[in-house]
Amino acid sequence: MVDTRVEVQDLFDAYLWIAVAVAVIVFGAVGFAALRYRHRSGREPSRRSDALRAELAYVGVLVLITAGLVTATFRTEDEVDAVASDPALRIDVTAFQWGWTWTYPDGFRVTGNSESPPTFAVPTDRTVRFTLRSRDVIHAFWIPEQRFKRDAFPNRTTEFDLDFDQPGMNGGVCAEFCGLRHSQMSFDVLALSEPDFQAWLADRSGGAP
Amino acid sequence: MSPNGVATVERAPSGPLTWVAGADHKVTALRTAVVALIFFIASGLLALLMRTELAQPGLQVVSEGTYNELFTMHGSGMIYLVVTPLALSLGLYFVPLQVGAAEIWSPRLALSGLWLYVLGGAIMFAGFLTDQGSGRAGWAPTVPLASDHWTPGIGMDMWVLGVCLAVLGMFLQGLCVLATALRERAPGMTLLRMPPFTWTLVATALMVITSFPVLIAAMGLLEWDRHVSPVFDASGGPALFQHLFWFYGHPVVYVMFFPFVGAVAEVVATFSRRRFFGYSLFVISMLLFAALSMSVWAHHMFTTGQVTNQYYSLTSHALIIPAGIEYFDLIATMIGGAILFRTPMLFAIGFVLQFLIGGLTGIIVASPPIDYHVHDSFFVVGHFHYTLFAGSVFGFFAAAYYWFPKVTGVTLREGLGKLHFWLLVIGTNVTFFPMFFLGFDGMQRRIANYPASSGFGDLNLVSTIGAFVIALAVLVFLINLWVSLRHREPAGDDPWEGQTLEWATSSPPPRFNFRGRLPEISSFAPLLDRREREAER
Amino acid sequence: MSRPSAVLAVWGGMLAVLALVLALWSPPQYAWALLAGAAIGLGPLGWVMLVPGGKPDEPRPVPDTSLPTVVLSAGIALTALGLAAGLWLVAIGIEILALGGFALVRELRAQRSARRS
Repeated sequence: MVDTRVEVQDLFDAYLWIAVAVAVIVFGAVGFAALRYRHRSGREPSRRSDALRAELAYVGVLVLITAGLVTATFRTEDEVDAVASDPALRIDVTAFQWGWTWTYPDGFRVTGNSESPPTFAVPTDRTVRFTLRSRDVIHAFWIPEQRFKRDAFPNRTTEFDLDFDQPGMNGGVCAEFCGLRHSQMSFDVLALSEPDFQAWLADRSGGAP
Repeated sequence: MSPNGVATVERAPSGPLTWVAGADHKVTALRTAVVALIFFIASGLLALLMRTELAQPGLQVVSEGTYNELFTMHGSGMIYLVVTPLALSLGLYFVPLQVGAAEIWSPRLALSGLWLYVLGGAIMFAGFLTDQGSGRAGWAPTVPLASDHWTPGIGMDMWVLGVCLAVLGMFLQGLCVLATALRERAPGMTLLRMPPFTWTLVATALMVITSFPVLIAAMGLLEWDRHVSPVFDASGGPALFQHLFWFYGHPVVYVMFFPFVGAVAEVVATFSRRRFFGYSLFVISMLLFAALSMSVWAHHMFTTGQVTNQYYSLTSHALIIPAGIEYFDLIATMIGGAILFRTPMLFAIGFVLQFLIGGLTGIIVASPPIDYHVHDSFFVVGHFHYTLFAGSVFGFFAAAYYWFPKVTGVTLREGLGKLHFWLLVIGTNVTFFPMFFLGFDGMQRRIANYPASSGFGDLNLVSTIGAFVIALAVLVFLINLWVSLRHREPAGDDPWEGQTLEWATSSPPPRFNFRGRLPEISSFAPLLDRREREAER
Repeated sequence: MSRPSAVLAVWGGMLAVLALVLALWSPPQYAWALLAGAAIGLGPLGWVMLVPGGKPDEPRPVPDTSLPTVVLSAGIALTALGLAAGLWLVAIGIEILALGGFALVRELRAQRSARRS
């Protein structure tokens, strides 16, 4: 089970802190230069125009930082992209202009569009395998709370796993410009504990799952 | 007759003929820049309309269909018709001067580039007049959306064809600039004595000539798909189009940044009263930067699941190295200098600090797992506006204030320049910084509207207020242009104690750039060398 | 190898290395061919930029204006627009293109003979 929200958030926080540190150093250096090296009468600028050894050492530091970031990224990506060999639940998602259809394992379908946005349900504590496709143009399935999105292409399917850690409502939107009502293609994902999820399924599909 | 030996075969032209058909590289460059500024104002007005719509939840100002045209033409205008031409026009004007050439390599090709660009842009914007509206699939369309079935109408065709023409025009201008630097240098101007700005143009033009033709091919195939027979129908078709598009779409953003970092390098050196620091490593890193930029394109496709994310993530992260070298050299030039805070230097420092934010957020999105969250959101919109607007446009204004006296013989006013700068800094950061938060919280891009329940309203309002401050700043710049050209305070040959050859000729330069002998060329800063030698006597 | 061609060769070499790494990393995909194509494309482009040219001792002739170039470019643009607007505009565009082309050839010939005299 991989919690995309935690994995991605942690990686982002790491990148953010490094970025802030770099920004502080650069802003500091420029500020220092601007104050300390203002033009004053009688001040002669330095005639030195390179420091190859120092600069190459600095490049070495940059290489190390790059390697560190890339390693962290590859590790997290392997986790996030991983698909379980035997997912607990399979859901087919079809995107279309301008709505979504989810097909649950027994063929039960939930659908909605910009006129009446759909609410889908998922169980918590189980790995859900999504098989995503589009019926027309490219769309993208984004659940910001999960820190995850994937593009939906026509004539091909994309598979990914998501784990919903906590019960609650997650908003979803289409994140690939898909024409006139692109901004109205939202949906809701209700994460429910297992018994509640079974009840939801039974209630919606009007029969035993 | 110039030291570099060119001869004209006609009598000197005048008036309207020069405006239309003048082949002097300086005239071509100036007209390219003026047209680009007109497109800048047009595309900027479209942005103000967009920001007015987004300021509050609900559709108050335009319909969804119109909004889709607005963001398409705003982005298309800025990328194809404004910043790329501004960047290349700087090269077209100043590379020949900086290398001591009398004229560009092929004035006719550069002139034809200008007209293909102007007419291509006009055709794109003329789409607004058509029945179904202008292009409306984004500046970077996808298929099948951009096919005739999903986005019908001649306005979209005019967009596709106009883009082909404009990009072809820029290809030709880039080719001219590169050939000039490679073969039309004055005697004594070796490759490693070319100034940093010229080297950034070499790196720029290398990307232009190798990637721009691919865009023309992609758009040609798209137009064929729209009206002749399907091209992208197979299951891998949409991805193929994205590969072809982004193979251009990534290098073009570096084309829109390198010349301005080059101009900033010249400004920082001049106003720190020192030669640019770390020249040799800078030259190698610019070439590496350009090569890497040709290899990262599918980082725009991380969420497709159809590319080898790790390769593109690795090459994208590797950009840290040349970018870091650039920053080291810029700051090291300032440290130990004797800095004068004239308007060009203010804009240059603005570029250095603000582009950094764009670059750092760029590294953040170079990580596929993070990109899975922020791709196609306002986080990315914030990222690229920091590089393109807070970076390149500030770099353009640094170049404008620096070189305006050379081009016109007249200085721009300092007071108005400083007002322009501070207004633009405030407007830029108020507009674009909130976008990082909006995007990370779930606001997608290219949306005409968002629900009130999203909570996005407050930051969008702040961003919109910033946009109007930007508009005010641009107005101040236009006023500065007007007042300075009317008031006409003579600049002289070298108002800033410049270091490179363009300052060794009159303002504006004569038809063949230099009269009499060139100064001795002993390094990439020949005029600084001359001043130092004279000081020693 | 001249120094200008060395610049192109070095940069092309960088692209070739990047293409090779991509090809090894993701064999069944074709994306590496774009990079390889760019590297190879530097050959003919380099030739166009560096090879043709007058003798170095003679001054190279440059025009002050070139109306035929503008007409030719306008013809290209109109032909392109005609692909959307209709065959009638393509026809007009090609005529203007040809007009500009012929005028350009005459302009270049005049330039060459003026240089000799």
